[in-house]
Amino acid sequence: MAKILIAEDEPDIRDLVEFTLKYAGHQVVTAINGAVAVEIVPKEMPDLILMDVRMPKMTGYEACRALKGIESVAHIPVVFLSAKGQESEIEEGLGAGAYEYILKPFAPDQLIRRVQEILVQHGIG
Amino acid sequence: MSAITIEDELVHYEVLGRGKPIILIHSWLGSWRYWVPTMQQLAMKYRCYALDLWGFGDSGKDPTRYALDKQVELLEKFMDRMGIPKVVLVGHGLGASIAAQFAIKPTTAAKVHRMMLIAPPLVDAAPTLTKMALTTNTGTPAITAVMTTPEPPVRLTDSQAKMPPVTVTTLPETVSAKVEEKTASTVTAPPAAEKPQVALQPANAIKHIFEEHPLEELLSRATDPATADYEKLKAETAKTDKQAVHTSAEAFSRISTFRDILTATAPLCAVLGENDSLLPKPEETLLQQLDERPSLKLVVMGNTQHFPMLEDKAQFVRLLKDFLEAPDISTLEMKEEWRRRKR
Repeated sequence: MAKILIAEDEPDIRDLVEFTLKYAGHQVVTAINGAVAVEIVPKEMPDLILMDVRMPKMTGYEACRALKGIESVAHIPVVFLSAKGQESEIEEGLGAGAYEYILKPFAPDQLIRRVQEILVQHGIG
Repeated sequence: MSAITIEDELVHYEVLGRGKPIILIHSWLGSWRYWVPTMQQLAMKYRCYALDLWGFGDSGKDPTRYALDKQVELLEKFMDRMGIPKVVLVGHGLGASIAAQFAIKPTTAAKVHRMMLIAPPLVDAAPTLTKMALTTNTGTPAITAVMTTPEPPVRLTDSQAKMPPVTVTTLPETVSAKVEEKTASTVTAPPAAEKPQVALQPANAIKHIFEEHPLEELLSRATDPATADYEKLKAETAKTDKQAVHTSAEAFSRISTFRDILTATAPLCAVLGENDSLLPKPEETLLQQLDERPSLKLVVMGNTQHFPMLEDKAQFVRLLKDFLEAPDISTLEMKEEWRRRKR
């Protein structure tokens, strides 16, 4: 099982993702926006980062670029959580160094499966 | 993991979502965990609590707390600690019986906003006990007998009939024989002061089911072992102190969830799995009485067994949401997919 950081400003979604991943057996750390994520990732060293795109203070893109600029954490895969209808953001997100997108709303089972696949692709879990 | 202590014992629970409170109460097989899909679907509108009862999951395992009334007290204390003044109860199997008891208890009845009871044990097996001592015409105490009111027969499902026998009797055979033998002679009742105390148990189909068979075997009959959910249920069932199951099942000699449902005043939805092969199939006469109770919807979910919330997650959640959101339970529209079916 992996350590996963969730950066999401919407508490309902953050709680749901946290609950879902914990239920699947993962250790979960949360951040309420991109700036907090950039601050705690080097300390927590998660195996995977799930990040909302639109967050206050620092967007997901900005946070992702910042993390990719920190050598010790640049290898950690970042997956964006983005609302359906905002597919145009995908290219920009991938350009910022994200590994993948997961579109919201997602079924909890789908999220767990996709997270597991990504972890396996990175030799984790 | 979230936990509180109640009377120095650990009570494990999980909570998800914001909104009106709902407490989900598990059955004899499993723990809070099988509510996860339900919690995930309700979280955007409701605050869902799922707790482990005494003896189950990760809650305390002190056998002195396993009686059904202690589990009801646990629910009451849990609500107090969480600061929940009024709640929607969703109980399954054992949890349904606990919710029903909670809903008729004078000190807690007003705390129930409405309740959904899934796979409640609908066996009208709480006969009125009449204790009487029989003596011979010489005045010598001869036999102590327990007379029971006639019970409706407990009909077993096909798969129950195939399993190693679950014996459901009205009276222990030896006692019946003695009653017949002695009532054939002239008898007189002794003075009241001499009335002996007897403690024979009347028929209790629920107790028989859980005492006669290992929990794992019962689980394999309660839901499809080929599913992913089965393995999770199996892992959680393994955490159960079997004594907690047996002690709670013993209560069904004294209580009847069926009667509690008729007594409770909170709006209620009773959900039965069409192919539930764990619990005795309720008699049609009982179902008819439930149908006639005001503010009650009786729903039989097609193609489900003992765990409708896992076996057809989407349909179950739709039904629960409709039930929660109906301004008046009597106006709850019965959709074709979960229409009450005649058995």
